[in-house]
Amino acid sequence: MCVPVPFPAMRPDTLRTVVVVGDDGEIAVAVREALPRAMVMVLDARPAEAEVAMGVCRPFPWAVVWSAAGGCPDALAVSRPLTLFLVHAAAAAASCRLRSWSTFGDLVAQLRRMLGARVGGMRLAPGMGVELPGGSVVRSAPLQALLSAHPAGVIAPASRFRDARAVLRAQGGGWTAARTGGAVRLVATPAVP
Amino acid sequence: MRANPEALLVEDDAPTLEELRMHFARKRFYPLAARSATRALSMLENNSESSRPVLAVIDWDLRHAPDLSRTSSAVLERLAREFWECLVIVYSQNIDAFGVRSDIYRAHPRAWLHDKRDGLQSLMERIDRMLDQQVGDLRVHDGTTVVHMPTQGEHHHREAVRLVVHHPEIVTFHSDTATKAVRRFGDWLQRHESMVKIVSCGNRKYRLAVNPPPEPSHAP
Repeated sequence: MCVPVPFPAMRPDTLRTVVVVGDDGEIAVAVREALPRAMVMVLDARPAEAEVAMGVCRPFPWAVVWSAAGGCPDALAVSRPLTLFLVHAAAAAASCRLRSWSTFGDLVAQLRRMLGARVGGMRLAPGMGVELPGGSVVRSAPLQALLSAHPAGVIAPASRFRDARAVLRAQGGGWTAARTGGAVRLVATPAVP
Repeated sequence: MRANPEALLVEDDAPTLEELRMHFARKRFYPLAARSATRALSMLENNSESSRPVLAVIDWDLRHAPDLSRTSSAVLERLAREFWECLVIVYSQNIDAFGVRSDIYRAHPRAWLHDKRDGLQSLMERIDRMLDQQVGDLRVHDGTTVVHMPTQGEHHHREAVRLVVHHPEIVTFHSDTATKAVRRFGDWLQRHESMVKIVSCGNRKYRLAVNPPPEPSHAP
């Protein structure tokens, strides 16, 4: 008889986290060893543990990788609009909220691209938050999502990006978060003459 | 202020445990040595306020432990939950096995892995490499002292060591006392005009950042 291992009672934390949901831990182990550990923490969860695993990430997981055969319930993605969902192509539902990956190489390339995103001198800081051009770090998780998802953007209510817009305004780097084409994206603000 | 760092050592083989204990004692660590997961957990529970190991070295397979009621997985889970700032190294004969790696990562997502077949010497060398870190103009000496290399100034607090050995990762500190020690370390860095500074990430989270050295000014 197969006894499921209970998901470890993790301490809720605010580090940038990828929750890898799979029927076994194979993809999670490989993802963990392929990504820079200073940038991201990988949690390995089974489909039944997905909610709990996402719940320990504060305020929400940076990304979810779904490799389980059952497919990612769209409701999960809808309830966490600022989390970037990458779902195996074979199990991807037809949802514009989900990004798909076909091979492990493709998945790692997407994750590395998201981690290494640079827009207007902004980039993801080690551990959490966004490093601004001056070197200061802001903890805004929505800004982190926007930066990682650039240029495709994030499908979420614009109100979720209020603090990201405030950070961008205060920084004065010529960028803001705006809704275009159904998604909220980082867009350059027109220069004031 | 001095505070020697603790190292949690969990190994079911008594001679190997003693060798590890001696190694860390020579490096001026305070070794918390246990032959079973139960003993290790009780050490962590009884001293959680005073003893917060900077480093834990854990044998994954504790089948020869005197008490088999708990496993190394339980120790890793406790470390992941309550001693997040502790650097954890897990070693096993079967570290190549996917199932073992998966179980270790599930118990502690940030654990480092080491192959026991490479021998104890290899493990100790690896630990030394991890501890004797250099960040900017700072170096950890013997795992217990942070040295500012240009001035040879020494800072002897375990929380300072913790920040340097974890660089560039963020470290979450567990108490106001620990964060005060971090701020004192920050003052010490400023006094020594170090190129390294402490970055606060809120919620008792800190990391080190290295400023590039100032460019030499050129006369017009």
